[in-house]
Amino acid sequence: MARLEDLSETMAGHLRDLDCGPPGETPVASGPALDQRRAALISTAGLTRRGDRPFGMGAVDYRVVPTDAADDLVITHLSTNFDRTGFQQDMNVMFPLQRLQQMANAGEIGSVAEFHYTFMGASDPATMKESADQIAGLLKQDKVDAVLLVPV
Amino acid sequence: MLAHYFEAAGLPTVCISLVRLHSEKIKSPRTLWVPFELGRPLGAPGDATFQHRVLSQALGLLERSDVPILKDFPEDAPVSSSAEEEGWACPINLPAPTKPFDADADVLDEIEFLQSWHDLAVQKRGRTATDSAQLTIEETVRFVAAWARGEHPESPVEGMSIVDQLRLCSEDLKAFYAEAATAQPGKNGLEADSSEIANWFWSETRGGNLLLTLAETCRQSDDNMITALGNFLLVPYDQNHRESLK
Repeated sequence: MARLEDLSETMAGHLRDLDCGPPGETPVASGPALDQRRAALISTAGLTRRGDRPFGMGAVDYRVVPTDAADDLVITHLSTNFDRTGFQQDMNVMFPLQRLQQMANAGEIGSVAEFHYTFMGASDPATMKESADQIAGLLKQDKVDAVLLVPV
Repeated sequence: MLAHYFEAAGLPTVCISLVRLHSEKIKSPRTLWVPFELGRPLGAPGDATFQHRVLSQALGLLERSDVPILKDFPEDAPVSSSAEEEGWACPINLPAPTKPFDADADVLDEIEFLQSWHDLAVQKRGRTATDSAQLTIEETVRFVAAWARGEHPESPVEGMSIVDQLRLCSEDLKAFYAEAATAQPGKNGLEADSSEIANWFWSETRGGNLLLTLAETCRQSDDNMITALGNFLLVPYDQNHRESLK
């Protein structure tokens, strides 16, 4: 469990002391009802397509995951301190693309985006703004109005 | 923090959070905190209904604009029955190790035993999470074994740094063992939880012993990057107390 009290002291201490930056004002954007929305996934699990460049130390760039390439994902994240065996058995536990597609098929959301994006979360997110701005432009081109950010 | 960037650009966001404390500080527009282990933000592999409940609650927050919202998901991840009983036992009997430890021979022997179970896992799931280092599993073992012995072969993949090559090989080896071991339920019919798989790999397999040996060799290096690799990027914190068997 990711309750701090359930983790080893080394891991809990690391997470407790992590600098999250100064709290800024929370921005807000709006959109239509959920069943009209087009959803995209953004993962910080360091997922890459097999054969694509792995994420390296301090990486602040991103990788593109086309919806039809999701079965070909591997993890190139630097950290050894999160479970990968769940992903090995079922990628949806980390990157729930098939679940999103089922929700679109059932009419619970409007549709699923053509492209999704991944970061390597061991890097400081404060340094990822330029990449995030680029992705924001790409998501708008893809008519996305529901962005689901999934950690690891 | 990424959510702030997207939302400020006009895109409505919702975050799943595994560490509540971070979300309390960051104050993203909409966050669903989940009480699951790191690496499993949707809670339970192979449980589509449970995953759907998490997604449904997260996406449901998108229609709200009274931000910041931090909501707690009300359920814990389903616990595998093994956590309450005698525990998972790997269904595959591995060959007895030789002494002294011969990295190539011992680990390749295990790989041969595990191969048909790995094939079954791939067939069953339609995918594998191995091959991130772009080598076959046998090439992976030989490359890691050479470094563990203190030799310094170059990265066989053009353009890949030695640190990336070794850490991805290490993850591929772990993934191969875990995928093979979970292709079927354990000896007593129980499914493994993540710590049972990790404990099995690091304490009972020669593959785990190879990575412990590699980490020990890397820590002795004069190259700071290789030392850091040995200290932080091969063995998880929770398994770092183990020493390799010679």
